This record gives sequence, C-alpha cells and structure tokens, in this order.
Amino acid sequence: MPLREPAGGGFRPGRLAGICAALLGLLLLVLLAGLSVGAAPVRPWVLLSRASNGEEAARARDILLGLRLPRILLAAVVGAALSAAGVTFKAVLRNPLADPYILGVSGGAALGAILTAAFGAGDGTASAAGLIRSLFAFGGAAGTLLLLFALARASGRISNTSLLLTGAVVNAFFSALILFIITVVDYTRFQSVFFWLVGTIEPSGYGPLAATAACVAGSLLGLVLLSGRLNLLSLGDDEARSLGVEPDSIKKLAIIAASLATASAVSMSGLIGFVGLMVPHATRAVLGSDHRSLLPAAALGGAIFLVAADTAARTLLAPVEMPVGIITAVCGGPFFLYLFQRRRAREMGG
Amino acid sequence: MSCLQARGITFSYAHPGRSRPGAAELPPQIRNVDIDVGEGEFVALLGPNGAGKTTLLRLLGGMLRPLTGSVTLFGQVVDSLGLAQKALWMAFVPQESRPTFDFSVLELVLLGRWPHLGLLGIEGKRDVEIARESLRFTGVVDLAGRPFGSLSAGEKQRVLLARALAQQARVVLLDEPTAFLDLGHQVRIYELLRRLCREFGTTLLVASHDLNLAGRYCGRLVLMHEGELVRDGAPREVLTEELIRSTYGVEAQVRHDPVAGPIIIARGSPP
Repeated sequence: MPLREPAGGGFRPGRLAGICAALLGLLLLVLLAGLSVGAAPVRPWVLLSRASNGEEAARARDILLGLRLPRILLAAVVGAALSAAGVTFKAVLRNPLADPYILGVSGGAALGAILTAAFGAGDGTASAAGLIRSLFAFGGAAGTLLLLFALARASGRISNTSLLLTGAVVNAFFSALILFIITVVDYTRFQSVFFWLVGTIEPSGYGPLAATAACVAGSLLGLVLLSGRLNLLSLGDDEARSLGVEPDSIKKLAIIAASLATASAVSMSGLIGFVGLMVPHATRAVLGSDHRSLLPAAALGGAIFLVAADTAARTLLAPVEMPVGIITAVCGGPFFLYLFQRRRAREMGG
Repeated sequence: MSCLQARGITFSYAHPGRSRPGAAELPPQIRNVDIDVGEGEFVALLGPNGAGKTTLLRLLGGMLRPLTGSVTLFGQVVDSLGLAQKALWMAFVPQESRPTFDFSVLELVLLGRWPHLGLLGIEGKRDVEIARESLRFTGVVDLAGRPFGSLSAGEKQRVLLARALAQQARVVLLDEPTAFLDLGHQVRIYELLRRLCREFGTTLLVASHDLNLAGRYCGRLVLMHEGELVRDGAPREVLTEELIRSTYGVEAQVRHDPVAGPIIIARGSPP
C-alpha cells in the first residue's frame, strides 16, 4: 500500500522536501561507505588525521580522491540519470516496461563505442581511450535521437506505438551492425568494450565527471519542471489536451531531456541495465504516482542504488572487479519479478 | 445565447493527399455539421455506432481539428484559443480513463485543477478544497484516498465527472458517460448531470446510446446519422418511429409519457 495519507491533501512541497532530505542523507551514507571500502585497506578518515607520515598519506589520498571518490560520484550521477530517464520514458510512452534504452539511444551509443574500438582509437592510454569512447558513444546516442525525431516528424503526430516500434527497430539494426563489425574486425580488440556493453563504472578524471554531471543536472532540472505535466501525459493524449496541455510538445521536451541524461550516463558507464526499469517502479510503490514527487525521489533512489551496486561490484570478488551491470541485473531481475507478482496478487484479490 | 457553435465543420480520419487512390472515396466521418448549443442547455447527441458522435465531440472539444469550417466557444475560435485557455471554459469527460499508473482519486480530480494552476503546477489549499467539494457533489468523497484503478465502473465515472467539475468549466462535453453502467448508475449519473445543469447553469453536451434516458433528462436531442445531423429538437420531435427506423434500422414502438418522457421499445429489425 502506497505511503499516502488516506484522506490525502494533494501535493505538498514540504513533504517532498522531507523525503528528498531523507534520501540525500541515505545517499551520503552510501557514498561514505563506498569511499571506505575497496581492494586497498584505506579508510577516508586517514585524510583527517594530520599525524600520518608523508608517503603513506599521499598514497591514501591518491586512492581515495583519485580513484574512489570520482568513481562513486560517477555512479551516483549515472544512477540518478538512468532512474529519472526511466520514470520519464514510462510516463511519456505510457508503458510500464519502458526504460531509458527503449528508444534505441543505447544501440546508437553502443555502436559509437564499438567503432572506437574497431578503428583502434581504444589504443593508447586508458583515460584517453575512455574519453574518446565516451565522445563517440554520446555522438551515437544523440544521432539516434535525431534520427528518431526525423522519422516521427515524417509520420505527423508523435504516436507512442510508432515511437516504440522505431526504437525496437533501431536497436535491432544497431545490434546487427555491431555484430557485423565484431565479425569483420579482429575480435580481441573488443575485450575492453565487452565490459562496457554490460555496463561498468570505471575510474574517470574529474573533468569528464564534471561534464557528465553538468549534462545530467541540466536534464534533471528540465524533467523536474515537466514533472507535473507528465501526470497529465500518463492519462492519454485526449485527456491531456482537454486539461490544457499539448501532449506532443511535452513528449518532445521530455524525450530530449531524458535522452540527454541517458546519453551522458551511457557514454561514461556503458549499458547498465535494470536501474532505469526497476528503481522507478520501486519508488512508485512507496510514494505513489505523482511525478512531482516521483521524479526527484527516483533520481535520488537511483543514485543510492547504483553507488551501492558499484561498491558491491568492486568488493565482492576483490581484487577482481565485476561489471556493475551484472550486479544490477542480478538484484534487479528477482526484485522485478517480486514486484510484479505482488501486484498481480493484489489485482486478483481485488 | 449560444456558447458553443460549429459552422460547416467537416472531418475525415483519412489524411487528404496521403491516402491511397481507393481510400479517397471513403465518406468523411463528419459532413458539413452546424450546431449551436446555448448557455445552460442539456443536450444529448444521439445516433448509431459510427454515426460520428465521438468524433463530433472531439472536434467541438478542440482535440481534433476540422478540415473545413470552424468551432467557436463563447465567440472565440477554438483553434486559436490555446489549449490552456480552452480548458478553463470547457471540460471533457471521456467514456473511461485508464491512467498508465494508478493515481489516488483525489490526485486524479486535482488534475482537473491544472488549467488554474501557475507555471510550476502546484496546487494550493483552495484547489484541494474545490476537488473535495466536487467529489462531494458527485457522491464519492469517501473514496478520495482510494486508488482510482480499484473503483467500480460507476464510481470511476463519478470521479471523472468530479474532475470535470473541479475544472470549473462552464461547458462540459461527455462521451457516453453511462456506457459501462447498470440501470441504477445510469439514472444517478443523469440525475447528477441535471442537477449540475440546473444548480450551476453548466452547459452539457452528452453523447449517448440510451434514447430513453436521454429523452427523459435532456431538453434537446440531436440525432446523427452517417456524419450528418438529421434532426435537432425536443425529444418528441426527434424520437419518432420513422427516424429510429431510418437511422438505427430498428422497428420500434415509441410512446411519449407526460411524466416519464419517451418510452421506446425495440421490436426487431425491419423485415
């Protein structure tokens, strides 16, 4: 049963602020935990003690501030982006199964990443290779979005069915291209890309992190401003129109903002699955369907979840690291089935 | 004074210029319709399936654009009015509403306040008060905290009606509001509509399949057939045995009772 008061008094900004403050607190805790554990036995409070000798303190600082901190921050940004995009796509497409990858943005990004590996741009230093791959992946995602709008424009109104079908076709087409490239080019080149395709958070510099965070923050702000209109969209086009909102223009803005968030996230961390599918449903089960609360809460929830999942990914089998996409899928699959079963049981029971 | 007016509107779902050569001969769904609805009237739009009732409602409600002709609301052309302004004057009650995700009843009714809210779309105390008042009027205020999806068809229809009330529009269009309801709920919905019309002077245009109920509660009936208006007038003038035969293809016996209004008994399809 959703946590709304029985006699509910409508949307209250104060209540949302309380929820967000609680989630922010939880996020800080998870971030601190993520900063504290890792392959090397370094704890963050080392930074606070002045008594430590020079060399050891420098090494600890390198690990904490150079590796762990940018990584957990990236996980938070990516998790927030994927989860908020998931909420948005579900509302815009009026489809509970929609996730950030449903319109083919992921396929475009993957193609871009594969191309960098195929043409040897992945050689050279690791961070330069990662940056080039991110740029290509972002380009692929943005290109897909443009293609999608060009196709939608050609058919007049933006219909959900044609968007979904176009997305599915685009994803299938890009998968075929990717397989073709992998077949034609020496496949040993693709080992690093393989992790990326499953979804993995790698240590990145603060520069790319800041750029990603800025893109994601901009998109999230846009989506929060649109969130009230997403409520109307989920009623259907006719009802939205009769309540004074033109669905097509809201859909367009929402898809652009959500896709920008997705593209930024995917270009840094690859195709992490299940966050955008699952966290929105879990948040909705607790808070109800009002997107004005749901969207910011789900973004924070996604950040918490992905930081926790990435911390697990790099500590469970330490010193071996798993791609975080494996963790999200392993947690996500069963959880999703549980939610689904529970809902069915509730519907059957009336 | 006429508040909702259509002049010479034509509409076809087949896109002109895009349809295949054969498809161009499809008759348009709405052909050259003129209609005037006066302020405070309770009008029923009748006609068999496919006659164009829902299409005409969507055209009048600005959800579709006519190919030719124009629709005016309080003297303003609906197309140039802007959806937000239009929503302040005219509400629409769909046959059924299926939100993708479940809202509580109060949340759904509060969406009716959207045209009145500011840029951020955050409702205030007064909006919640109006939403509750609307739910009280339609008799479902006790359900305010319930998920909309868990309600019965009759309760859902009352909630949708409450949303239209919360919109505080002077004109309300309803698309077969009693389509899924049993006799008791049908009667209570029409009684609510009549109260709405009498107590608040709301103008109502309701598409309906139920000739008896429409004839009993609405002062004026408009009968459609194949995209055209075939008769417009008092129940006695519209609900005749000849017209029912020529539009619905049914032999019927019609009696006009001074108290209960028209009584129509279908006797079968013509030989």
